[in-house]
Amino acid sequence: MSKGHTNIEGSSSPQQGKQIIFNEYIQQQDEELWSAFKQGSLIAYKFIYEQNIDPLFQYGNSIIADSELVADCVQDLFVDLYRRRSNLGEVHNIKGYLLISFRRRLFDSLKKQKKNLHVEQYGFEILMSESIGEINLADEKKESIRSALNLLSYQRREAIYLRFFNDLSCADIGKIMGIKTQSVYNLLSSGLKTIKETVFRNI
Amino acid sequence: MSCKDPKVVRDLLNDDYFYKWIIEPDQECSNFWTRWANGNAQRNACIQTAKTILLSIEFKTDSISQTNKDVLWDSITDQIQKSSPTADTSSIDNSHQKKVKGHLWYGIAAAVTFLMIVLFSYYSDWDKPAEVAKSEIVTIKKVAEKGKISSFRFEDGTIVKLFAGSTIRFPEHFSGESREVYLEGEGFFEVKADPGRPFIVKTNSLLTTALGTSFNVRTYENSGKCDVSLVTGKVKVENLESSTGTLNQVILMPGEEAVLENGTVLKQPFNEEEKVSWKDGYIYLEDKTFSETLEILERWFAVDFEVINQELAEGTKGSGKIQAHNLEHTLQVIGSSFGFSYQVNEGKVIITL
Repeated sequence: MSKGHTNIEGSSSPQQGKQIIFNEYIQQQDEELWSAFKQGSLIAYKFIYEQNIDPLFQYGNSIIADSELVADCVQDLFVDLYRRRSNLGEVHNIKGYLLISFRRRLFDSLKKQKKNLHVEQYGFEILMSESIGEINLADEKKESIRSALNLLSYQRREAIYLRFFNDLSCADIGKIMGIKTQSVYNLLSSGLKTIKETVFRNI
Repeated sequence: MSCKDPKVVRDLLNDDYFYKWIIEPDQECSNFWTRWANGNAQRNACIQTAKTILLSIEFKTDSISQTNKDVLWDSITDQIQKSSPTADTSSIDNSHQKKVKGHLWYGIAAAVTFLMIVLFSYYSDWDKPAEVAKSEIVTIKKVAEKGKISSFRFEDGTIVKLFAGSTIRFPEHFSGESREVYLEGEGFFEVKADPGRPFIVKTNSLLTTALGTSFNVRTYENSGKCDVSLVTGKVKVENLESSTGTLNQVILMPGEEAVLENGTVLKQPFNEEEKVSWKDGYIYLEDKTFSETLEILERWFAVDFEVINQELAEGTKGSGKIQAHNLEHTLQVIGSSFGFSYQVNEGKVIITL
């Protein structure tokens, strides 16, 4: 699970040529950081970029393995954000807000390139770890769990990714995916139950 | 401790309320499971096993390298600087307004030229108390103590914020055709508009004339350097020490500053956040080396630094905006980034890297 804070903490001893950002913003709430950005602070803007580039990029790459397209969408997102900053509303969860706008951009580009059907099939591909807790998995078991889990619907895979690998609430996930909060809950609940059954069938 | 009872795990994984706890618990749900596991190591171990079964999956994804992050950031900043659509539209929208202001400006510029001559002797009077008394002008002096920023409101409604260690002198009443103040150090002025009486800030070397406007003036103690940075409105900056003996002046638009160096005044763009963050109580640092950072802190807090193992910080540059609550807070924030520890002893700070 990546949180994407690696290059801002600066708690280790300084190295040659290193760039650090004094980390007062780390202690600040999203609301304060967002309002500093809206008032034109370039430092706040850069901090928002540093804090969210990893989750955005990984999310985009989970949807489609096309780093160039994903980077283009991230760039457009941030340029547009900066231009519209004085007209933006209040934001309580910056990552959630960015993911909503980013997903829309990415899907718009995919539609233009007629790649959106491809996404449903290959997006959020699930991999199996070597073991489940203390139980080591033989290769063929691992493979059979993996292929069974990739039969989970696209929406279930995406919801699980956002909830457990990005720590977002059902309400935020609903906004990102454009569905109701209750539907997110149902997707997660049925998705986890399928995982349970698949695992039990194989061990 | 591991879970000894697979049946407990199965029961948990068949319980909808357990899923609720994992997906999005409310207070009641959290309380229930906390009570259920309360201090029971065996139950806790089974909860862990059940969670592991559900969440031992991973997703196939790619990460972005640090180099690519930097490249991407550079192209983002390139693009926002290149386009800057706000600047374009405002110049179109304000073209009419600008013209009107332009007319006003010429009228005032004429007045200022006249005043300058008067001012010159007027200010040299200030250094001779006896003559000041004779002309019955009472001069007031305000000082921002070292380590403190103070604000002052003049009788006309103009507000000045004085940076730590700065001094401003001004007459008890603004009489005559202009409002004149004398500054040493650094001050941020929000000038109350009064078209009939321009507001003038004088330093040893520069004379800044303004209408309703906000700007920052800074003199540097140990060099002849001085700068005037304009945030809103329009000001004229004249060089009082023109080396060529000819008139050396610039007119500033918002976002421009006048810099006096080696006897000449030049105009250049400036970073507003960097220049005037101090007035809101923020220390702004951009790409500052360790020793530059300490120099800035010395100015803010009037302390001396002693550094042990300074060479360890060489080559590191830091950026950030820190609320200058007090010295300790600032040292904590910067210290955790540069990785130093510190000790404060009566105005002296010992830093160990």
